[in-house]
Amino acid sequence: MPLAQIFLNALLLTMLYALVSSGLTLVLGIARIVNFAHGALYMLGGYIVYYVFQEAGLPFVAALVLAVLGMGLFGIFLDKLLFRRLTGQFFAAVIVCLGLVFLIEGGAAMIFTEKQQSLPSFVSGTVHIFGATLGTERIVVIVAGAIVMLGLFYFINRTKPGAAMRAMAQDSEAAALQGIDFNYTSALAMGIGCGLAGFAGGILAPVYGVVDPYMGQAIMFKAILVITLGGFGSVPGAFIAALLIGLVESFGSWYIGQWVSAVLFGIVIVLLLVRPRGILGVEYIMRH
Amino acid sequence: MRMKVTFGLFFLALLVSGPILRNEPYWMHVVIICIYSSILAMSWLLILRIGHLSLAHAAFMGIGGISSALLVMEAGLSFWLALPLAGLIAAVIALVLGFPILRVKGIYFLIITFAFNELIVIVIRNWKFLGGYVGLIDVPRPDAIGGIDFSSKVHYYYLILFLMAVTVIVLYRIYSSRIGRIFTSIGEDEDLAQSVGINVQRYKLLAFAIGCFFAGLTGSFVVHYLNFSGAELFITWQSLNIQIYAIVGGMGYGIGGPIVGAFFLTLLTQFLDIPIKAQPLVYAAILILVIFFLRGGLITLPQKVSAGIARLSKLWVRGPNHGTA
Repeated sequence: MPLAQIFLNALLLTMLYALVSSGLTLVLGIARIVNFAHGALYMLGGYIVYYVFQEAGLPFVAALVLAVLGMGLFGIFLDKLLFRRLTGQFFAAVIVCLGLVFLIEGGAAMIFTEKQQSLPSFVSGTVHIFGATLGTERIVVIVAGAIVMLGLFYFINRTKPGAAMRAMAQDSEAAALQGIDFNYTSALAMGIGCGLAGFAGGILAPVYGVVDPYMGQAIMFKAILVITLGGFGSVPGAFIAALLIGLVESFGSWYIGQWVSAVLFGIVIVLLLVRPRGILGVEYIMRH
Repeated sequence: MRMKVTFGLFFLALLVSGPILRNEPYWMHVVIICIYSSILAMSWLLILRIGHLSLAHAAFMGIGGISSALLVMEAGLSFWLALPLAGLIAAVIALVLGFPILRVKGIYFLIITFAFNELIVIVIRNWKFLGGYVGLIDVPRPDAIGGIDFSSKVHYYYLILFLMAVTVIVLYRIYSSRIGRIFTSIGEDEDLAQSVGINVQRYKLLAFAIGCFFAGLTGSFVVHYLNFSGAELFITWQSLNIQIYAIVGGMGYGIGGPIVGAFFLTLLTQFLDIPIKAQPLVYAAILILVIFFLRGGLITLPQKVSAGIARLSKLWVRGPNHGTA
């Protein structure tokens, strides 16, 4: 029965988008930069898992952990090297991020070759739920994704570092006056945000079965759509938006196939014109 | 100022005499790319001048290109009519699109134009009439006029050179006029401009339409030059490419900067024999370096170098006390 199938597929997409977008929106709230290169980090996470799990034969969990740590550290590195020097310079930051995408993808294409590499799933077999048949790994991803998102919510809302991040996103000067360490919190946010991207890439690579240097691009478009719908800087907003977009995309591609992407892009455009702050965001104030 | 004009004329003379000095198709092809890239970069910069970073420039090039191809192939129009029409169609769509989207602020405008470019590419790919995944093949050459039948690259070369000259003249007139100053003031501080009575929305629409007009024009040239029109020509990466030319060349100089950037980067790719696959990487690396170390762009390099030399020579001549002793 297709309905259950479509719905479960939507859940998978939701997790994917939620993981990637919450990282993106977290970075946005703190560094005030839309990191267009976030999709590239997702891609690198996938490649790390490919090399560690498929090529080196290490256990999948180890590969995943490496992907998360690797991308987290890379994100912090990017922040210190580039983003920190571009605070307040909106156009320059955007251009640098866009350039980074092609730098990272180009580098990956050269090092890993442009060919798609295939990798097997980390667990075999299928599962039957509500009349739908899914590969087991998809259920694992949905559950794992949900756990990670819950962990993220808990971290942001119930812990001190999380509160620090929320404070910084709201008003970084006031936060600094309260004694919140700007550098530490910033690095933490970048690390977590980019680590999430790495996690998403790593856990989804075996599900989709292939990695290629440009797989981050498609994700990036959707991620931008999601954070716009959810509201810049809002993690719960990103999750709700991811759910909505996942549902639209899953049902949409069943009924109208390829055109669903066009519909989604049309939605972004209309959304930005009508209610740019999204569902749960506050009006994005650009500091010059 | 005199330096600029002399240098410009010298460069123009070089370009005009190019095919005569070296009548070799490959080289002409490279310079043709340089020339139409610089038109795209210049027209893009005009939109940046009013404070909006557009990622949709390649899409407008596509709109112009496909319109031109269809007008010639389906409606039987002459290329010479289709060319300006392509520009106009692009400009009209820019006006229609610009009306709602020019009101929004930087980041939102950016994302909208990004989404628009993606949307156009998807529409092209999914609609057979516009080319589909394969694209439109056998797009005819421009109709012959006089003895020129466009069987040789030389003909295309002079056509695009002519178009570039038109673009340069139009932009030069704009930038040195009151309208140009209004554009700049809108770009620097929209609210302030509005407060002195400038109809910001109208001037923004004008700049956006003019910029997209030239993009459409170039699109028409490109598809009739390549005899092909495919979505790959108009993807968002191309929009970024255009930006890179303008920024690396120099954002502050509306005409010189993009030309310097387009020529430098395209010729660099040729001379260093950079493989197509590595090109985005190299361009992106150069872009990031320029943003961090030479924000004004390559066109400011001579200035910076001579200023640096002046400072060094002062130190050298006057000694450690810097002339104060």
